[in-house]
Amino acid sequence: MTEVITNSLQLKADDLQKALALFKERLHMEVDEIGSKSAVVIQGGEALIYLTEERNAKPSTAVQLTTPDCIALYCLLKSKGIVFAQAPTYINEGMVAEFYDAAGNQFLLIEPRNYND
Amino acid sequence: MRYIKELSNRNRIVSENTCKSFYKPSDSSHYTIKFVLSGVEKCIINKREISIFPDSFAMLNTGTDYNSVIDSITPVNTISLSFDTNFVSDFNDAHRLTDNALLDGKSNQSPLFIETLYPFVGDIHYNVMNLKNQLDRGVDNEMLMNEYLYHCLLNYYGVYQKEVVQKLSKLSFTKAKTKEEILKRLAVAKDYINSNYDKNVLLEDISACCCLSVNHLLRTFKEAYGISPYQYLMQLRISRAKYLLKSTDYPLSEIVCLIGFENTSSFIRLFKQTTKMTPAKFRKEHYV
Repeated sequence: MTEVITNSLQLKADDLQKALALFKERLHMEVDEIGSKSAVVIQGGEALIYLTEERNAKPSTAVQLTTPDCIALYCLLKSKGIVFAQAPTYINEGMVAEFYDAAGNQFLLIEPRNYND
Repeated sequence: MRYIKELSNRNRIVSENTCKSFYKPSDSSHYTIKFVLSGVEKCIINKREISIFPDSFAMLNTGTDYNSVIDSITPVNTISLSFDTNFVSDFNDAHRLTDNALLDGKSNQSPLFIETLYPFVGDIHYNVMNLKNQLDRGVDNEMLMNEYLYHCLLNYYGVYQKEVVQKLSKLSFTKAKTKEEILKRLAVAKDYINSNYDKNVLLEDISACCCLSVNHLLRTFKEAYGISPYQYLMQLRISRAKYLLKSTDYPLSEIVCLIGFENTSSFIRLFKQTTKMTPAKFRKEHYV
Protein backbone atom coordinates (compact mmCIF):
# COMPACT_ATOMS: atom_id res chain seq x y z
CA MET A 1 0.00 0.00 0.00
CA THR A 2 1.23 3.50 -0.79
CA GLU A 3 1.12 6.13 1.95
CA VAL A 4 -0.01 9.51 0.71
CA ILE A 5 -1.50 12.67 2.15
CA THR A 6 -3.82 14.78 0.03
CA ASN A 7 -4.96 18.38 0.09
CA SER A 8 -8.20 17.64 -1.71
CA LEU A 9 -10.94 15.73 -0.01
CA GLN A 10 -13.44 15.79 -2.84
CA LEU A 11 -12.95 14.57 -6.37
CA LYS A 12 -15.59 14.44 -9.06
CA ALA A 13 -15.33 11.91 -11.86
CA ASP A 14 -17.20 11.21 -15.04
CA ASP A 15 -16.70 7.49 -14.51
CA LEU A 16 -16.36 6.46 -10.87
CA GLN A 17 -14.95 2.99 -11.57
CA LYS A 18 -12.23 4.40 -13.82
CA ALA A 19 -11.28 6.94 -11.17
CA LEU A 20 -11.26 4.30 -8.43
CA ALA A 21 -8.94 2.06 -10.44
CA LEU A 22 -6.10 4.50 -9.77
CA PHE A 23 -6.44 4.19 -6.01
CA LYS A 24 -7.37 0.49 -5.88
CA GLU A 25 -5.18 -1.08 -8.51
CA ARG A 26 -2.27 1.28 -8.80
CA LEU A 27 -1.87 2.85 -5.39
CA HIS A 28 -3.21 -0.31 -3.61
CA MET A 29 -5.29 1.81 -1.30
CA GLU A 30 -8.43 0.72 0.55
CA VAL A 31 -11.61 1.95 -1.10
CA ASP A 32 -15.10 1.86 0.38
CA GLU A 33 -17.84 2.22 -2.22
CA ILE A 34 -21.01 3.95 -1.03
CA GLY A 35 -23.76 3.05 -3.45
CA SER A 36 -23.00 3.24 -7.14
CA LYS A 37 -22.21 6.94 -7.40
CA SER A 38 -19.71 7.62 -4.63
CA ALA A 39 -16.77 6.12 -2.80
CA VAL A 40 -14.24 6.92 -0.12
CA VAL A 41 -10.53 6.27 -0.30
CA ILE A 42 -9.38 5.19 3.13
CA GLN A 43 -5.92 5.37 4.68
CA GLY A 44 -5.10 4.33 8.24
CA GLY A 45 -8.82 3.91 9.01
CA GLU A 46 -9.60 7.50 8.02
CA ALA A 47 -11.31 8.92 4.94
CA LEU A 48 -8.72 10.51 2.67
CA ILE A 49 -10.63 11.35 -0.51
CA TYR A 50 -14.35 11.37 -1.34
CA LEU A 51 -15.09 10.50 -4.92
CA THR A 52 -18.44 11.17 -6.56
CA GLU A 53 -19.65 10.36 -10.03
CA GLU A 54 -21.05 13.32 -11.90
CA ARG A 55 -21.86 13.43 -15.56
CA ASN A 56 -19.68 15.89 -17.49
CA ALA A 57 -17.77 16.68 -14.32
CA LYS A 58 -14.91 19.11 -14.85
CA PRO A 59 -11.56 17.53 -14.04
CA SER A 60 -9.94 18.66 -10.79
CA THR A 61 -6.61 20.38 -10.96
CA ALA A 62 -3.56 20.01 -8.76
CA VAL A 63 -4.74 17.23 -6.47
CA GLN A 64 -1.70 16.94 -4.21
CA LEU A 65 -0.54 13.51 -3.10
CA THR A 66 2.18 14.10 -0.54
CA THR A 67 4.74 11.34 -0.23
CA PRO A 68 8.01 10.87 1.71
CA ASP A 69 9.73 9.63 -1.47
CA CYS A 70 8.64 11.12 -4.79
CA ILE A 71 11.08 9.04 -6.89
CA ALA A 72 9.87 5.75 -5.37
CA LEU A 73 6.18 6.57 -5.89
CA TYR A 74 6.91 7.84 -9.41
CA CYS A 75 8.64 4.56 -10.32
CA LEU A 76 5.87 2.50 -8.73
CA LEU A 77 3.12 4.30 -10.67
CA LYS A 78 5.17 4.27 -13.87
CA SER A 79 5.61 0.51 -13.60
CA LYS A 80 1.80 0.24 -13.30
CA GLY A 81 1.30 2.06 -16.57
CA ILE A 82 0.76 5.65 -15.50
CA VAL A 83 2.19 8.08 -18.02
CA PHE A 84 3.66 11.13 -16.33
CA ALA A 85 3.29 14.60 -17.79
CA GLN A 86 6.28 15.66 -15.68
CA ALA A 87 8.96 13.36 -14.27
CA PRO A 88 10.24 14.20 -10.76
CA THR A 89 11.69 17.68 -10.75
CA TYR A 90 12.78 20.22 -8.15
CA ILE A 91 10.76 23.12 -6.82
CA ASN A 92 11.42 25.46 -3.87
CA GLU A 93 9.35 23.25 -1.56
CA GLY A 94 10.94 19.95 -2.58
CA MET A 95 10.27 17.50 -5.39
CA VAL A 96 7.22 17.15 -7.60
CA ALA A 97 5.96 14.88 -10.40
CA GLU A 98 2.72 15.26 -12.35
CA PHE A 99 0.24 12.91 -14.01
CA TYR A 100 -3.39 12.83 -15.12
CA ASP A 101 -5.84 10.02 -14.34
CA ALA A 102 -8.31 8.57 -16.81
CA ALA A 103 -10.91 11.20 -15.86
CA GLY A 104 -8.45 14.01 -16.63
CA ASN A 105 -7.84 14.96 -12.99
CA GLN A 106 -4.39 16.44 -12.49
CA PHE A 107 -2.35 14.80 -9.72
CA LEU A 108 0.85 16.17 -8.23
CA LEU A 109 3.14 13.86 -6.29
CA ILE A 110 4.87 16.12 -3.81
CA GLU A 111 7.78 15.30 -1.53
CA PRO A 112 8.16 18.27 0.82
CA ARG A 113 11.78 19.02 1.71
CA ASN A 114 13.10 21.37 4.34
CA TYR A 115 16.18 23.06 2.93
CA ASN A 116 16.73 25.20 6.02
CA ASP A 117 17.54 22.27 8.27
CA MET B 1 27.77 -6.08 6.06
CA ARG B 2 28.38 -5.10 2.44
CA TYR B 3 25.74 -4.72 -0.28
CA ILE B 4 26.76 -4.38 -3.92
CA LYS B 5 24.32 -3.77 -6.74
CA GLU B 6 25.71 -3.68 -10.28
CA LEU B 7 23.19 -2.32 -12.77
CA SER B 8 22.95 -3.31 -16.44
CA ASN B 9 24.36 0.09 -17.52
CA ARG B 10 27.47 -0.69 -15.40
CA ASN B 11 26.58 1.84 -12.72
CA ARG B 12 27.08 0.47 -9.24
CA ILE B 13 25.81 1.01 -5.70
CA VAL B 14 27.87 -0.16 -2.72
CA SER B 15 26.48 0.15 0.78
CA GLU B 16 28.42 -0.91 3.85
CA ASN B 17 28.02 -0.96 7.60
CA THR B 18 31.28 -1.98 9.23
CA CYS B 19 33.88 -1.16 11.89
CA LYS B 20 36.91 -2.18 9.86
CA SER B 21 37.52 -2.28 6.13
CA PHE B 22 40.09 -1.54 3.49
CA TYR B 23 38.93 -1.04 -0.07
CA LYS B 24 40.93 -0.43 -3.22
CA PRO B 25 38.93 -0.54 -6.44
CA SER B 26 40.14 -3.19 -8.88
CA ASP B 27 39.33 -0.99 -11.86
CA SER B 28 39.15 2.79 -11.93
CA SER B 29 36.87 3.15 -14.93
CA HIS B 30 34.08 4.72 -12.88
CA TYR B 31 33.30 8.08 -11.37
CA THR B 32 32.56 7.50 -7.69
CA ILE B 33 30.69 9.61 -5.16
CA LYS B 34 31.37 8.51 -1.59
CA PHE B 35 28.96 9.32 1.23
CA VAL B 36 29.28 8.56 4.93
CA LEU B 37 25.99 8.39 6.82
CA SER B 38 27.50 7.83 10.27
CA GLY B 39 31.08 7.76 11.56
CA VAL B 40 34.10 8.63 9.46
CA GLU B 41 35.86 7.06 6.47
CA LYS B 42 39.40 7.92 5.47
CA CYS B 43 40.14 8.13 1.79
CA ILE B 44 43.60 8.30 0.25
CA ILE B 45 43.34 9.98 -3.15
CA ASN B 46 46.60 10.13 -5.12
CA LYS B 47 48.56 10.02 -1.81
CA ARG B 48 46.42 12.80 -0.27
CA GLU B 49 44.41 11.76 2.78
CA ILE B 50 40.94 13.14 3.43
CA SER B 51 38.33 12.20 6.02
CA ILE B 52 34.71 11.97 4.96
CA PHE B 53 32.21 12.88 7.68
CA PRO B 54 28.39 12.74 7.41
CA ASP B 55 28.26 16.45 6.48
CA SER B 56 30.30 16.04 3.29
CA PHE B 57 30.84 13.74 0.35
CA ALA B 58 33.77 13.11 -1.97
CA MET B 59 33.81 12.96 -5.76
CA LEU B 60 36.43 10.79 -7.46
CA ASN B 61 37.08 11.01 -11.17
CA THR B 62 37.45 8.08 -13.51
CA GLY B 63 41.06 6.90 -13.52
CA THR B 64 41.79 8.19 -10.02
CA ASP B 65 43.91 5.95 -7.85
CA TYR B 66 42.37 5.80 -4.40
CA ASN B 67 41.66 3.55 -1.48
CA SER B 68 39.42 3.92 1.53
CA VAL B 69 39.89 2.83 5.12
CA ILE B 70 37.41 2.40 7.96
CA ASP B 71 38.79 1.77 11.42
CA SER B 72 36.29 2.55 14.15
CA ILE B 73 34.92 1.20 17.44
CA THR B 74 31.35 1.92 16.34
CA PRO B 75 30.02 0.80 12.92
CA VAL B 76 30.49 3.25 10.07
CA ASN B 77 27.66 3.46 7.57
CA THR B 78 28.72 4.33 4.03
CA ILE B 79 27.26 4.39 0.55
CA SER B 80 29.17 4.77 -2.74
CA LEU B 81 27.62 5.49 -6.10
CA SER B 82 29.80 4.57 -9.06
CA PHE B 83 28.94 5.82 -12.53
CA ASP B 84 30.24 4.29 -15.73
CA THR B 85 32.42 6.72 -17.73
CA ASN B 86 30.16 6.55 -20.80
CA PHE B 87 27.09 7.23 -18.66
CA VAL B 88 28.71 10.38 -17.21
CA SER B 89 29.93 11.52 -20.66
CA ASP B 90 26.42 11.17 -22.12
CA PHE B 91 24.89 12.87 -19.09
CA ASN B 92 27.44 15.67 -19.31
CA ASP B 93 26.73 16.24 -23.02
CA ALA B 94 22.97 16.20 -22.49
CA HIS B 95 23.25 18.86 -19.80
CA ARG B 96 25.89 21.10 -21.26
CA LEU B 97 25.54 21.03 -25.02
CA THR B 98 22.95 22.74 -27.15
CA ASP B 99 20.46 20.65 -29.11
CA ASN B 100 22.31 21.43 -32.35
CA ALA B 101 25.67 20.37 -30.96
CA LEU B 102 24.09 17.15 -29.70
CA LEU B 103 22.56 16.46 -33.13
CA ASP B 104 25.96 17.06 -34.74
CA GLY B 105 27.40 14.40 -32.44
CA LYS B 106 29.92 16.80 -30.91
CA SER B 107 31.84 16.23 -27.69
CA ASN B 108 31.28 13.02 -25.65
CA GLN B 109 34.29 13.90 -23.51
CA SER B 110 34.75 12.58 -20.02
CA PRO B 111 34.50 15.56 -17.66
CA LEU B 112 37.08 16.06 -14.93
CA PHE B 113 35.67 17.35 -11.67
CA ILE B 114 37.64 18.86 -8.80
CA GLU B 115 38.23 15.95 -6.43
CA THR B 116 37.33 17.44 -3.11
CA LEU B 117 34.78 17.33 -0.31
CA TYR B 118 31.41 18.85 -1.13
CA PRO B 119 28.65 19.72 1.36
CA PHE B 120 26.20 16.83 1.79
CA VAL B 121 23.03 18.89 2.12
CA GLY B 122 19.85 19.65 0.20
CA ASP B 123 18.46 17.46 -2.58
CA ILE B 124 21.47 15.15 -2.84
CA HIS B 125 21.10 14.39 0.89
CA TYR B 126 17.37 13.68 0.54
CA ASN B 127 17.86 11.45 -2.51
CA VAL B 128 20.73 9.44 -1.01
CA MET B 129 18.80 8.94 2.24
CA ASN B 130 15.73 7.78 0.29
CA LEU B 131 17.91 5.39 -1.73
CA LYS B 132 19.48 4.05 1.48
CA ASN B 133 16.02 3.56 2.94
CA GLN B 134 15.01 1.44 -0.07
CA LEU B 135 18.23 -0.63 0.17
CA ASP B 136 17.60 -1.25 3.88
CA ARG B 137 14.11 -2.49 3.00
CA GLY B 138 15.63 -4.94 0.53
CA VAL B 139 14.19 -3.26 -2.57
CA ASP B 140 16.06 -4.46 -5.64
CA ASN B 141 14.33 -2.69 -8.51
CA GLU B 142 16.70 -1.65 -11.32
CA MET B 143 14.43 1.07 -12.70
CA LEU B 144 14.16 2.64 -9.24
CA MET B 145 17.92 2.39 -8.57
CA ASN B 146 18.65 4.01 -11.95
CA GLU B 147 16.26 6.84 -11.20
CA TYR B 148 17.98 7.54 -7.86
CA LEU B 149 21.42 7.44 -9.51
CA TYR B 150 20.31 9.79 -12.28
CA HIS B 151 18.99 12.26 -9.70
CA CYS B 152 22.10 12.00 -7.51
CA LEU B 153 24.30 12.83 -10.52
CA LEU B 154 21.96 15.68 -11.44
CA ASN B 155 22.17 16.94 -7.85
CA TYR B 156 25.96 16.67 -7.96
CA TYR B 157 26.01 18.94 -11.03
CA GLY B 158 23.99 21.46 -9.01
CA VAL B 159 26.45 21.25 -6.10
CA TYR B 160 29.39 21.55 -8.53
CA GLN B 161 27.87 24.68 -10.05
CA LYS B 162 27.58 26.26 -6.61
CA GLU B 163 30.85 25.05 -5.09
CA VAL B 164 33.15 25.28 -8.11
CA VAL B 165 31.75 27.33 -11.00
CA GLN B 166 30.42 30.13 -8.79
CA LYS B 167 33.58 30.18 -6.65
CA LEU B 168 35.74 30.38 -9.77
CA SER B 169 33.92 33.50 -10.84
CA LYS B 170 34.73 35.14 -7.50
CA LEU B 171 38.50 34.78 -7.95
CA SER B 172 40.16 37.91 -9.26
CA PHE B 173 42.51 36.35 -11.79
CA THR B 174 42.32 37.01 -15.48
CA LYS B 175 43.31 33.62 -16.85
CA ALA B 176 40.77 30.80 -16.49
CA LYS B 177 43.56 28.25 -16.02
CA THR B 178 45.03 30.25 -13.11
CA LYS B 179 41.60 30.50 -11.47
CA GLU B 180 41.12 26.77 -11.79
CA GLU B 181 44.55 25.96 -10.37
CA ILE B 182 44.03 28.31 -7.40
CA LEU B 183 40.59 26.86 -6.67
CA LYS B 184 42.02 23.33 -6.78
CA ARG B 185 44.62 24.36 -4.19
CA LEU B 186 41.99 26.09 -2.06
CA ALA B 187 39.94 22.89 -2.20
CA VAL B 188 42.98 21.02 -0.87
CA ALA B 189 43.21 23.61 1.94
CA LYS B 190 39.52 23.19 2.74
CA ASP B 191 39.83 19.38 2.74
CA TYR B 192 42.81 19.67 5.11
CA ILE B 193 40.73 21.77 7.53
CA ASN B 194 37.78 19.36 7.18
CA SER B 195 39.97 16.36 7.93
CA ASN B 196 41.98 17.92 10.79
CA TYR B 197 39.33 20.10 12.44
CA ASP B 198 39.78 18.27 15.74
CA LYS B 199 43.49 19.11 15.93
CA ASN B 200 45.41 22.32 16.44
CA VAL B 201 45.25 23.52 12.82
CA LEU B 202 48.00 26.01 11.98
CA LEU B 203 47.82 28.38 9.04
CA GLU B 204 51.37 27.39 8.10
CA ASP B 205 50.34 23.71 7.85
CA ILE B 206 47.35 24.54 5.62
CA SER B 207 49.57 26.76 3.48
CA ALA B 208 52.20 24.02 3.11
CA CYS B 209 49.69 21.33 2.16
CA CYS B 210 48.03 23.41 -0.58
CA CYS B 211 51.27 24.97 -1.91
CA LEU B 212 50.15 28.57 -1.47
CA SER B 213 51.97 31.16 0.63
CA VAL B 214 50.15 32.20 3.82
CA ASN B 215 49.29 35.62 2.38
CA HIS B 216 48.15 34.18 -0.94
CA LEU B 217 46.06 31.56 0.88
CA LEU B 218 44.38 34.14 3.14
CA ARG B 219 43.55 36.46 0.25
CA THR B 220 42.27 33.86 -2.23
CA PHE B 221 40.40 31.80 0.41
CA LYS B 222 38.45 34.88 1.45
CA GLU B 223 37.78 35.77 -2.20
CA ALA B 224 36.41 32.34 -3.03
CA TYR B 225 34.55 31.42 0.15
CA GLY B 226 33.82 34.84 1.66
CA ILE B 227 35.43 33.91 5.00
CA SER B 228 38.95 33.31 6.32
CA PRO B 229 40.33 29.78 6.87
CA TYR B 230 40.04 30.37 10.66
CA GLN B 231 36.36 31.41 10.36
CA TYR B 232 35.76 28.36 8.17
CA LEU B 233 37.35 26.13 10.83
CA MET B 234 35.18 27.65 13.57
CA GLN B 235 32.00 27.24 11.49
CA LEU B 236 32.93 23.63 10.82
CA ARG B 237 33.58 22.92 14.51
CA ILE B 238 30.24 24.43 15.52
CA SER B 239 28.41 22.51 12.80
CA ARG B 240 30.02 19.21 13.89
CA ALA B 241 29.33 20.01 17.54
CA LYS B 242 25.66 20.46 16.58
CA TYR B 243 25.68 17.07 14.86
CA LEU B 244 27.16 15.40 17.97
CA LEU B 245 24.72 17.22 20.28
CA LYS B 246 21.79 16.05 18.13
CA SER B 247 22.85 12.48 17.48
CA THR B 248 24.82 11.33 20.56
CA ASP B 249 24.52 11.50 24.32
CA TYR B 250 28.21 12.35 24.81
CA PRO B 251 28.77 14.83 27.64
CA LEU B 252 29.54 18.37 26.52
CA SER B 253 33.13 18.18 27.81
CA GLU B 254 33.75 15.20 25.50
CA ILE B 255 32.18 16.95 22.50
CA VAL B 256 34.35 20.00 23.14
CA CYS B 257 37.42 17.73 23.03
CA LEU B 258 36.23 15.85 19.93
CA ILE B 259 35.82 19.02 17.90
CA GLY B 260 39.26 20.34 18.83
CA PHE B 261 38.40 23.02 21.42
CA GLU B 262 40.66 23.24 24.43
CA ASN B 263 38.34 25.23 26.60
CA THR B 264 34.64 24.50 27.31
CA SER B 265 33.71 28.05 28.22
CA SER B 266 35.15 29.53 25.01
CA PHE B 267 33.23 26.88 23.04
CA ILE B 268 29.96 27.75 24.83
CA ARG B 269 30.58 31.45 24.15
CA LEU B 270 31.15 30.85 20.43
CA PHE B 271 28.22 28.42 20.21
CA LYS B 272 25.90 31.00 21.80
CA GLN B 273 27.21 33.70 19.47
CA THR B 274 26.47 31.69 16.33
CA THR B 275 23.29 29.78 17.24
CA LYS B 276 21.75 32.21 19.76
CA MET B 277 21.31 29.44 22.33
CA THR B 278 23.44 27.36 24.68
CA PRO B 279 24.61 23.86 23.68
CA ALA B 280 22.37 22.37 26.40
CA LYS B 281 19.29 24.15 25.06
CA PHE B 282 20.21 23.15 21.49
CA ARG B 283 20.46 19.49 22.53
CA LYS B 284 17.13 19.68 24.35
CA GLU B 285 15.40 21.03 21.26
CA HIS B 286 17.09 18.87 18.61
CA TYR B 287 18.13 15.58 20.20
CA VAL B 288 16.99 12.68 18.03
